[in-house]
Amino acid sequence: MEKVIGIDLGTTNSCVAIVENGSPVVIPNRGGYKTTPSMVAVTEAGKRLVGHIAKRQAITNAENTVYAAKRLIGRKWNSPQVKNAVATSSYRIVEGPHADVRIVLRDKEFSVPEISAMVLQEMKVIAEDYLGEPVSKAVVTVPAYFNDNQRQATKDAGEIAGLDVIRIINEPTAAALSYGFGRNVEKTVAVYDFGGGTFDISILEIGAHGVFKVVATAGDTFLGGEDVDARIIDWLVSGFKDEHTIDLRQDRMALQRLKDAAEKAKCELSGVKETEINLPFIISSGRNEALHLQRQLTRQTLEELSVDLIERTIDICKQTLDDAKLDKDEIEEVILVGGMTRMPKIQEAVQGFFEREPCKGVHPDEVVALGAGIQGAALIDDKQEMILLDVTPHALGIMTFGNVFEELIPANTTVPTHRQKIFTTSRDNQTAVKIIVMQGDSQKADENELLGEFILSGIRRAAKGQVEIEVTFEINADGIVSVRAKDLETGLEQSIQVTATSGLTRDEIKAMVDNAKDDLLDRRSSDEIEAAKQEAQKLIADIEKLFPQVQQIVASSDFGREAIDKAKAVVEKAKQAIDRKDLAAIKEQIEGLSRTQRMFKGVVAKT
Amino acid sequence: MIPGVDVRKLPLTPTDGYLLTRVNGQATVGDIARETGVWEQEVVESFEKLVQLNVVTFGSVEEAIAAMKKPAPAPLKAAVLSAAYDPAMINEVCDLDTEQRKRVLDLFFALEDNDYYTLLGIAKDADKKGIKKAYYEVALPMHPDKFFRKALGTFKPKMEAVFAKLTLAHDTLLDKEKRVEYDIYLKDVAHTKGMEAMLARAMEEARAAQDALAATVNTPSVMPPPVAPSAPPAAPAPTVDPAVLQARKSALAARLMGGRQRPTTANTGFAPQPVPEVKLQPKVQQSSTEAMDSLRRRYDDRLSSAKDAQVAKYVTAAEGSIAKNDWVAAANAYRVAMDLAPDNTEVHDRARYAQTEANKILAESYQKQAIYDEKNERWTEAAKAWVRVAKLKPEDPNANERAAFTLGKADGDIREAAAYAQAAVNLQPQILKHRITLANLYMAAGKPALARRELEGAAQIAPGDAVVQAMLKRIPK
Ligand SMILES: Nc1ncnc2c1ncn2[C@@H]1O[C@H](COP(=O)(O)OP(=O)(O)OP(=O)(O)O)[C@@H](O)[C@H]1O
Ligand SMILES: [Mg+2]
Repeated sequence: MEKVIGIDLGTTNSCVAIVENGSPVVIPNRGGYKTTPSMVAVTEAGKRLVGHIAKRQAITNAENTVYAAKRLIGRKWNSPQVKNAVATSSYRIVEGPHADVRIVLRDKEFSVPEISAMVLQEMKVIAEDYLGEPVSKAVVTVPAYFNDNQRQATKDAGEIAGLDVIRIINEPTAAALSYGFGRNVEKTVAVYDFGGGTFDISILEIGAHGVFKVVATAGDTFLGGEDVDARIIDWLVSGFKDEHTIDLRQDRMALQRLKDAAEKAKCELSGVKETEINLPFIISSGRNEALHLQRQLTRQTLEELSVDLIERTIDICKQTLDDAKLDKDEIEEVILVGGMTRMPKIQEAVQGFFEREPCKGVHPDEVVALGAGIQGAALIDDKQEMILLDVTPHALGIMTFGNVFEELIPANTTVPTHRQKIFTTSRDNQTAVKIIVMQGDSQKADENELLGEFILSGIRRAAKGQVEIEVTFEINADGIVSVRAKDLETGLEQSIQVTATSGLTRDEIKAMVDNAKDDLLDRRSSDEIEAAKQEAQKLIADIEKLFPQVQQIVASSDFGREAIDKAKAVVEKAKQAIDRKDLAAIKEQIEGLSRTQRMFKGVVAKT
Repeated sequence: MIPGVDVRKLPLTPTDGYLLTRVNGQATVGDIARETGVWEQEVVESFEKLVQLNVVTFGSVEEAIAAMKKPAPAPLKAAVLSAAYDPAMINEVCDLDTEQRKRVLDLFFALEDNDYYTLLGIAKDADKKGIKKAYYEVALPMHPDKFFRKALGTFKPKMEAVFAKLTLAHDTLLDKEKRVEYDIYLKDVAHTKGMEAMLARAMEEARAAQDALAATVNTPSVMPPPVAPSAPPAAPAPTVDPAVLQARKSALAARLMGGRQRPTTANTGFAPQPVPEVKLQPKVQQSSTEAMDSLRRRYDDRLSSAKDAQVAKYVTAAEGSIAKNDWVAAANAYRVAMDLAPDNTEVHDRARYAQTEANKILAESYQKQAIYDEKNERWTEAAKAWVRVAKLKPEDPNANERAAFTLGKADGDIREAAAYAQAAVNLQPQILKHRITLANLYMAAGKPALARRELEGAAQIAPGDAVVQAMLKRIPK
């Protein structure tokens, strides 16, 4: 049977594993290490370096050494995360032709998937050396909270590396697989994964029949050890500035040395209470004299510097438990994954929140790769009992009239799945509708990620709301999303399979939203919404008619002006609620509207 | 009922207890439902419990329950689901073995017609654990990963659909709020089913009553048999003095009967009126015509008195139901009364009125169901419900159109669907939607000429309509 490797493509470190004779093992690299730094460099001679050798020359070749490329994968040039990376990285990040991100190494531009592909290829070679045969299939892990564009870009990286990525799975899920494999337990577990670049929390049910069912998952794809390092760097930089009035960030090599020292100090402080950061000859002053950086960092200071980051992870845990509709005491095991969970303060925070001591006996750096290997074997091998039921981390839906994101598949839905909803045209005589497929968790469509779009035309000319369009979303077992729109009258149909990244920026999406306004669909309104809407509109009309009069009467008093402002706000809110067709909100506003209307009538009547 | 059981010690609800008092060894489930105003479905559930508790024993009630439960909805395993599909589908070439193919098809074609409990093969009161267990057992073998990168043909999307639906069932039933909402929906369905069963029973009873009367005429020397094992009429609403209510009902019944009603003793039920036995006396000094006349008079008397008693029974029952606002039961009772007394215009008017009210209630109930089903793309169910709405509200163009549309979607009887669409078009000839639905159905039925005619009509109403033009273009000449 063909072998499938499992690769944990980490922000800082990558790891590869395989199932051999029924048990999963991590494959060490040529240096004997079980993890390989996710670093890529190009030397002066144009030679490509990956892993430990890239890391070793990072300080002397800072500008041409890429680390943490995973933080950029599948992102748009204009995103805040990319802006942040541009400001803090020692390598050069530029805008690509499709508003995407490019990295410049020795004057050559690389896309992010190309950089990740170099790491994947290295992992592939490590496995091939160990097995003594070529490997072509892999299961690759991604943070659970990655969106479809990020997943797709990771798949692309695999393809560039010559790998058939038979499945992308989520890192915390993989960790749970590895935890539960062969243990024959039936438990509800929480996986807290705090790595170099991302934070994820997943809650899973491990059941009989080898089932691993994800109940809920959430996270932050830009929250990791890198951010803790950045806090230490900030602390060092501002201290140095106070002393010497020199900004160390101006010098790429100094920055790389700072980064290196910060991470080292952070790791040391997991074992000791205090450590010294000593960087001689860090920079030269204007007067041609060398300056040194030497400071003591205590564990307590580090904890103060990173307290809000840790709190954020706990907040996300809380949210996820709510989403899973579970109480803390229903979690029977807490599994810690990722290098950052070695930090005592983090262990303490997690234990404090779940009121349970985290599980020992899983290796935080290796579980993810092991889980990927296990999943690979389970898919290929018929005899494997194991099955993984994962969920969509983000909601999927379409943009409807008024920039409203209309969700079809909610977050945390088990895949494969399919859902349908019926919409109507949003204006009179509309003959085409644009289906804008989005992913995200905001009610405002333009705050979500765009996945693709298509047009369904040939719709009957009719008053708005008359023609019904059925939209179907499908996610198959391989995680591929397809969307279909069907005119229920004529049976005309259009569909797309969401595969490629769109490469559009936020601004472009916004512009597109404006342009597409006339072609969007609308939510089908129910009789109840219609009735509430009419009631609200009548009240609004009454209020607006009285407005000039009331304004004249009360404008002289502060109190009066305040009342007018309030009235305006109420009307505005009500109008928004009507636009959104949000029944509950309309009903809520009707109360405010009737109060305002009564007050206005009272004012006018008294004078 | 089993003697010696202390009923008060049992975990019975007031309804259970009340129903128990109606058990007399004769009454059927239908009788008890009718007279107590409790839905048949609920009566069945209640008696299942009573049987289990060993309070009532095998007898007519049990048989009746068994009869009502013919398609045995006892805990079903996936394999027992009734699913109709072309058996040839199992022969599709793919990597699945025959058994797995059958399992997929059985489940796939059962998705629409079965509720979540049945699909998962669990009882209505299954707990979290039971739901999960069943889900894993039924759904996991349907997960395409079990057959990763195998050639699955059309079975792959089917398995995905089955898996998705079972997961939806699992997620719905495990979420407290969603489960409550879903159970209410199922109750609504059961409720309308209860009404349906009642309607069917009323028809049966009317027929039985007619037959019984016919028997009276044909066999003069034999007593007309009791129409149905009768029990006392429904207990009145608790707030009204039973005697008062009874008096009111009797008065109304008397008025409706044109004063011909014989006094009925309220609490002993409508036992057949004592009719003197007829014996022919051979040696009377009467002419044969006289004798014949007298005989006929007696027959007629007996017939009309028996009939009057029957009619009175149903009128009283109907008015009792109206007093409880149960128009469906009232309409049923009146329907029987009307069949028995075809010439009584007052009964007719009242019956029609009750029927109109009942139809309104029924239509509303079906419509609710239809909309829910449509929303959840359960086309077969939606079509059934819309058809009923359309039948109850034949003047409602929307109901007719929806019936047509959903029938089309559910691969139902195209002729029937077209008839509804035609009705919608007749009611609102100016609305394009109706015509387009009709044209689509004609196309599906392989009648392009008819479709063309319909679309040309539509084109006359809205000459520039792109869809109509597009559809016209697609029709082969
Ligand atoms: N002993 C330690 N104490 C504190 N932090 C540590 C320790 N060891 C490693 N780390 C930090 O853990 C992070 C790396 O963790 P890990 O290797 O799990 O991340 P990754 O898998 O590469 O990233 P991700 O999963 O976010 O993509 C780095 O920020 C590293 O500094
Ligand atoms: Mg990791």
